[in-house]
Formats: sequence, structure tokens, C-alpha cells
Amino acid sequence: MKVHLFIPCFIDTLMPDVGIATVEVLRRAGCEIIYPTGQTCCGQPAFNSGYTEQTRSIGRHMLDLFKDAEAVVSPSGSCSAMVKVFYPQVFAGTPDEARANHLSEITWEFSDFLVNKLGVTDLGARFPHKVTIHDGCHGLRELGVRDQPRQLLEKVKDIELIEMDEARTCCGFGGTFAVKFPAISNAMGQVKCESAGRTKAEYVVSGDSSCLMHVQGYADKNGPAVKTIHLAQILASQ
Amino acid sequence: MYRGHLARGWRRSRGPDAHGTTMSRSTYEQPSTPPTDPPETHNGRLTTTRIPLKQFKEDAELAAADDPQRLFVRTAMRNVANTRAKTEAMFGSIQSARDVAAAIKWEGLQNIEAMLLQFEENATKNGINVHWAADGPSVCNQVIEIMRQNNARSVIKSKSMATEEVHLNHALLDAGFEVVESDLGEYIIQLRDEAPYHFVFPSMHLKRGEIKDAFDHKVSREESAPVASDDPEALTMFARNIMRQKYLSADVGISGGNFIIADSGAIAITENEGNARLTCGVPKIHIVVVGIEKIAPKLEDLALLQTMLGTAGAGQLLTGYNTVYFGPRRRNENGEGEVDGPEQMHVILLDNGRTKLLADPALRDALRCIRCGACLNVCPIFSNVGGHTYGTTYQGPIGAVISPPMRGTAQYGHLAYASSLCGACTETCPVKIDLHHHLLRIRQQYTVAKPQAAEKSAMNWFARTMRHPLLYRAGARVALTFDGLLRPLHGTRLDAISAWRKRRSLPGKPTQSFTSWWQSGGKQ
Amino acid sequence: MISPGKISGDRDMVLGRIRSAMATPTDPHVIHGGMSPDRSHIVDVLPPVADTWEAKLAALTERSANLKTNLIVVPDRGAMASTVRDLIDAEVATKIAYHRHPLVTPNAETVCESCYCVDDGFDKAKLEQCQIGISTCFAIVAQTGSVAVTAQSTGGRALTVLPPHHIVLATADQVVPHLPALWAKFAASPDRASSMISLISGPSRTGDIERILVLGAHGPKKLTIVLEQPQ
Repeated sequence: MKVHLFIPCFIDTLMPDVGIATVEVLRRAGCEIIYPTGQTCCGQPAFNSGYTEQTRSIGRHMLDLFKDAEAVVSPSGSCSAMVKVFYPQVFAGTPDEARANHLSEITWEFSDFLVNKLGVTDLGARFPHKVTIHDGCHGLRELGVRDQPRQLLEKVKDIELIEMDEARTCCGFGGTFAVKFPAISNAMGQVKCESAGRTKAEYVVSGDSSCLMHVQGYADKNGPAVKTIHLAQILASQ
Repeated sequence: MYRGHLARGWRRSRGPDAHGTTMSRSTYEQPSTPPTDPPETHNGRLTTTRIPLKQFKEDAELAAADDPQRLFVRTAMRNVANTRAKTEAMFGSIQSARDVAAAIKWEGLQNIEAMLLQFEENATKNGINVHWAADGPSVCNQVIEIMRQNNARSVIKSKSMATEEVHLNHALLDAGFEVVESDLGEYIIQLRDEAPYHFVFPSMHLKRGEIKDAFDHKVSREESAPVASDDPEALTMFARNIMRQKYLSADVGISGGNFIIADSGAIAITENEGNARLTCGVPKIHIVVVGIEKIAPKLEDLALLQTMLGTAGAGQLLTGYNTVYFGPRRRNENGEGEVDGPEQMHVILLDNGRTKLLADPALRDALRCIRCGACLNVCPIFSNVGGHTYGTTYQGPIGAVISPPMRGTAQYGHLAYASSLCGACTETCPVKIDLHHHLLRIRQQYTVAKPQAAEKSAMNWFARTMRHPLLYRAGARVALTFDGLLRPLHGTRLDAISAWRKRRSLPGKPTQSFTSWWQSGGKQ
Repeated sequence: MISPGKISGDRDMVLGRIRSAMATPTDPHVIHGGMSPDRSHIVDVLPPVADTWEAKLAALTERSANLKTNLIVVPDRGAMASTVRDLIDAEVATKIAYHRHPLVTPNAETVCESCYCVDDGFDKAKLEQCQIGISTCFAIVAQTGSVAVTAQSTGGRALTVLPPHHIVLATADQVVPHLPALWAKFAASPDRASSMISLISGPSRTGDIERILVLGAHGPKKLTIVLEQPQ
């Protein structure tokens, strides 16, 4: 099936391997990938700061870019949620309302797309490591993404999955929150990292690279010795 | 411990929503300081020069560095969560229960005028005196008027956040009346001259040693012999023994209310200790102060509302005492009937900013709140910064949602930003308030109420850049290059992301962006 | 009694504010949780308890253990009487308070030298001196393990909360399965005219000190239910 790829701005610039792995996995699942190279940002930073007009301005560019799409997939819970959950509210009562509602309907978070749209859980992956899962809040609570990553990871050969007790607790990134309230963000990162450390896992996996960047940043400076990895990268491993 | 700093700073003179409750002069040895009026009474202008956001950040930083305290709070919250999970597992369907509870409270809110009038009519038939108060000073004046008309001198109180909002105890003390808080947690924090840490568990931040200190230093020897030890049992019995005499001697009992029951003209009160049972049962006069949003349409609704309150708040299927008061002691013309009970019952229906919330069509559902405290219990911000950092009567997510509309968006809207929007609060709320999305709505209101020119310019620049792919690509390249060039400045004040770098490391710089990879054929 | 007109305060102002607030319809994006409640669902969403003696007793037993209520099931009135005597003797209680009721009176008056009947003119200082308060109940709710007492028929307001040990005497037919059944029973009962009904779930408790459970904060430290089986 034809899939338009929506790559969050920070994955594009800072963690392109996540995007590359996403392409690899979707192709393996039989998708033809279209990547509109003019894409920039979903507008979430402006939205989270309370600037609706600016959000609309950025969002309109997204609506233009993806207007011919049948399905839009993003390896990010928070960015997919921005489009799926918040675009309808942001554009309500504007001339773009119908377009926004349409884009919302056809946008999918990566793991949700694989499991619930394509009906695929086994990507033929192999990842012989001990891994614990961090549930990014937007994916978890805005989009109901919780079982899907686990269903996918369980099918990965030689993987050892272990749940951390704070799996569903916010890591503390929260986008602009990390910049505005760094002390609190850091404290929350500490709780997440210590919980991951208690599992003795080698890797922390998530569907959100922004969370992982925050967790890795804290762990590198303070411990534990853990590596963060995106779900797509595990599924792409063979 | 940092708490000394915050506790010292957290007096009733600090900030427009600062509050304090105090002991009767017989037990509290230090003189009280005069209350600061909330800004509503001064033409909307703040009466202090404190900058809430700056103070919040300072307090948050101190609190976030107090690892033992954070662990203490986190452990307490985890225990509540475990107990709650066990209790919720008993329900036929806890998610459906949330739907029905939300619908019941919503029905009350949507018809709030009719419901309050129905309550007033039924309550009056029951012999209850119903009063209405637009704001804090009005409530205080009405209570004082009731006291004077009855030549009353002393008050015993059970826990009421509505009375905390309006500084009732202060007003009573200053008018020369004696006031005692009977709830153990409230009693303790009063002795320490501290604000409640959590509106359900006001003293949860304290260790037994600190509580014993308060008892040792703040309760006079005439009042009681010293407490035997810092054992929780001994501490509790100490307070129990003091209170027993107060119940018997107080002229007036003042309580809050958990639910205003429209079809019965009654007030329902939920508690664990039994102090409200005694406050509302023994003194000759019973006064209820209750927010107008506490409407429950029917008596039978309590079957669900009281169980949700107990379960969500502390994992108790039902809290220890759930009592419904239909009026004062009922006797016929011959004096036959109930053997005891107050001669008079008054209910003061309080607005104090609730109609402002009601007037906001996007935030209205926040008035469904039953004050269970569940959102505090699951909030990672709360457990990392603690309840005193908020600087408001109500802490946590619900506090951040209702304080800006009720007390001023410009003054309190910053609380809505102190959240990662994780949504745990919305997920847990027994009456399905859209809490974390409300924080987003308040942020939108804040940019209008308190425009930040620099931030707005930055957002405009950001929007312009993101509309133009070439600008975005160029910007990304420049930022990455620049960061390398500016290596000497890393960690200094000129470092734009020094706050991140201070505590975390950064990802390494990739050789090419995803878009470049794609454009060059999409091969590794 | 103060007449309502005298201190009705800001009635018109508050009602005016409400009216103008509600003139704006609710934003459709806000979660409503449903627009009108189906109250018939309440019994289904709460913990299920069938209306049989076995089911009710099982639920009540489980809840009593959880709440630290001392539940004693007895075969008949004779056993009830001896149980009450044993409870009183165990405490070396010297002062007992009670109210007059066919279930309560015979049990209280067997130890009559030290009994205080609250029906005979109420002295709260005397009640405060009593170690045990004996009452019946309006109902027992199996689902929650609660004892429902009323001001009208179970000895007023203070008897069932002031003495440190509250003994409740009840019969099987008083046990209702769940809370909706309780409120239905209450609505249909003469006790509906009471000025107070209280659901007591266990002894008085607090967790205000380090979240550690302590019993007997202000109300009774001990709650005992002596429940007669179906006859």
C-alpha cells in the first residue's frame, strides 16, 4: 500500500537513522513510500506554548504537503498525535477544517499502523538483547498506543523483554517543558532512568525519539549505562 | 531539608491566594498576622509584588533536588496507586463507572441554576437556613453574623477546602472567636503555620519527628500533657484527646460539604476520622460552607459518587464515614423525636470564582471535580516538586486548571506550563475532566492575558521558517554548524542550550539529514 | 432560628452570574462523559453482590477483614446476648451507652448498673465517659461492609461515633446487598424523615502520619457487628 512518510523535524536533523529504519520496516511490510521532501514541522512547539495562529500557519503547510495521501505514517507518537488529535481542534471553525479532519483520519503512529492497519506483527527481525519499554505519553494516552509495540517486539527473535515499573510514567521531556522547567524535567528523567536501570536492560526502546533523546542525555551524564533505541530500529535489525 | 525554606515562606501574607488556618488563641502561642485580601477585593490588582513564575521555578528547583523527600512522596503515591488498583478491580466496570459518574456530575452542572434552587427549596422545607455568598469576604461576614446572632464564642471545624480558600479561620480569629481544626492533618499543619501539602492528605510531607515537634512546641501545657512519643499511634491519640473536649464545648461546628443533594435538600460529607460526624453532631449550631459546583442531582447518586471519591482518592471502596445531613435535629411540637443534634443548620453556597469557570465554555467541565485528589497522586510534576510549590489552595493538575480562571490567568497561568502534558491526570480522573487538554487551553489564554513579546516574536519566526522548507533546511544546517563553532561557549551563559547541557548530554551530530539520505537515493 | 430572608446574602448576584455564564453553550471539544446519566447502570458498574445470604455474607466478611471491623455472626438471640456479654467483659468496660430498641435493650440492660440510655435526656459529657456504645442499625451494606445508622432510629448522632467501641446489633434481614439497594430501602422507610444517615465503614481511621494507618482517630477505635443469621 502507498504510504506517505511524515518524519519529525528532530529525527530528520538529529536522528536520521530512525527515519531510515522506518523506511526499511515499512518496505519490508510491503509498503510503497512517498516522502514529501518539503516537510518541516507539525507545529507542536507553537501549539504547546499556546500560539494557535502560528500553529495554524505551520499546519497549513502540512495540510498542503499531504493532501494527496491515502495514509500518513510517522515514527513519533507525539507528532502523530499532534496531527491526529489536535489538528481538528486547531482548525475547527476555519476554512481548513475539512482538510484537517481528513488528514487526522488518515494519519497513523508507526506501530499502530503496522499492527492495526496492515495487520502485521512479525517483521522478521532479530535483536538478541535485553530490552525494556518506555511508553511515550502522547502515543500512550492520546493515541492508545500500548499493546502495539509489545506485540511487535514479542515477535523479534532472541529478544529479552522486561517491563520497568515506571514504563508509563512521563520521562519529563514534554518538548518546551524541558526548556522552560529544566529542573523538573531533569528530576522526572532521573525517575525514568533509575527505573530502567533496575531492570538491568541494555536498551530502552520507545516509539518516540524525543523521549529517548532526553533519557539518553540524562543516562550518559548520570547513569545507568543504558542505550536508547527507537522501535523502528529494533524491527529493522536482522 | 528545603521544606523549611518553603514552610517559612508559605504564610498567609504571601501571594493573593495565600491562605492559612490557625488555632484558637488558647492553643497557639504566637500572635496571628493579619490576612491579605485576595485580589478580587482590590479591583483585580495584586496586593503583593511577588512574581509567581519566578518563585515557582525557584521553589521547584529546590524541591526537585531534594531526593529523599521525592522518594518519600513517590513511595506514598505508589502505595495509593496499588491500593486503588486492587479496589478498582472489584468494580463491575471501573471505566463505565467513570462515564456514569461524569454524566451525573455533568447533569448537575448543565442544570446548575435549577438544581441549586431545588436544593434551596427542599433544604428550607427541612429546616435548613440557606445562604448565598458571592466571594470570600461575604462568606466570612455571614458566618460571623450567624455567630453573633447566637452569642457564640467558639468554633470546631472539620476539613473544608472552601473555607481554606476564603481564609475563614483568620476572619473568625480576628473577630475574636476561637477556632479549632479537628481533622488531624489540618490540625498539624495549622500548628506549623503551613499550607496543606495535598488537599486530601494535607500533612503527607511530614515525618513523625516533625509532627511531634509541633505538638511539643505549639500546644500549651494547659491544653494537654506532652505527647508520649513520636509513634503514629501516640501522636494520633494526643490529638484525639484534645479534640474530644473541643467537640463538647464548642458552640458552633463548621464543616465543608462533598455533595449538595438537590432532590433531598441535603448535604453529604465524606471523611475517615469521624471528626466531621462529631463537628456536625455535637455543637448546637452546624454551618456548612460549600462550593456551588458540588451539586449531585439525586440522593441515589451517592452510591456511585461516594465510591468513586473513596476509590480514586485513596483506594478505599468507601471512606470511613459517609454521612448525609437533611437538617437540624428533628423534633415535633411536643419535643419528641431525635435525641440529639444541632438546633440550627446553615448552608452557605459559595461562588468565589466558580461562576468564572462556569462562564468559560471550554473549561466548564472542570467544575465536575469531586476533589478526590487522584490527579495529584498520579502527576509526576506533583511528586517531584511537592504541593507547596504551587502557591495555590488547590495543588496539582486540578489546581493548575482552576486557579487561572478563578484567580486570574495572568497571575496563575504559568502553572499550566509547568506540565509535560503526559495526560495521566485526565486518564485517572473519576469524572473525566479533560485536565491536560485544559492546560493547553489555558496556555492559549495566557498568551493573550499576559503577552510575552520576545516569545511571540520567536514563535512568529519559527512559523515563518517552518512554512518554507528551504529556510528550515538552511536553518538546521546552520544550527548544527554553529553549535560546533560555538564549542568554546558550551556551558557558559552565552550557551543557548546550557540548561540542557548542564544536566544532559546531547546526541552526536549525524553526517546527513534523513531528507538528504532520501534525496540521494535512499541507500545506506 | 434565623429566617432565610435575613442572611440570604448574595443570592441574586450569584444566580445572575450563573445565568449569564450558562448563556454560552459548552464547547463541543470538551469531553462530556455523556450528556445524561443512565442511573440504572450504577448497580452494574459497582462491585457485584447477589441478593442471597451466602453472597452477602461472603462480601460482608471480606470487607470487614479489609476494614478491620470485628464481624461476629451468631445463630440466634441467645448467642447474641452472650456474645455481647463477652465483649463487655473482655473490655472490663465500666460505662456503656445505648438506645432503646428491641434488639439493643435486653442486651444493654443485662449489665445495667453501668448503662447510660441516651433516650432519657441527653448529656454529652456523660456519653463521653462511656467506653462502649451499643446500637442497632438501619441496614448493613454487604458490598461495602458498611453499617448505616440514622439519627431517628439508632440513638441519635453522637452515640454511634463518640464511645471508643461501637457495638452494632443486627439481624440478617437488615443486610442489603449493595448501595443502590440501601438508598432504595431508605427512600421507602419511615427513617427517611431522619435528619442524618451515616454509612460507617470500619472503625475511625487516619493515614495523616506518614500514611500509616492508625485506628480511633476521633471516632471509635473498635467497631463490632454482632449479626444474627437468618432464622
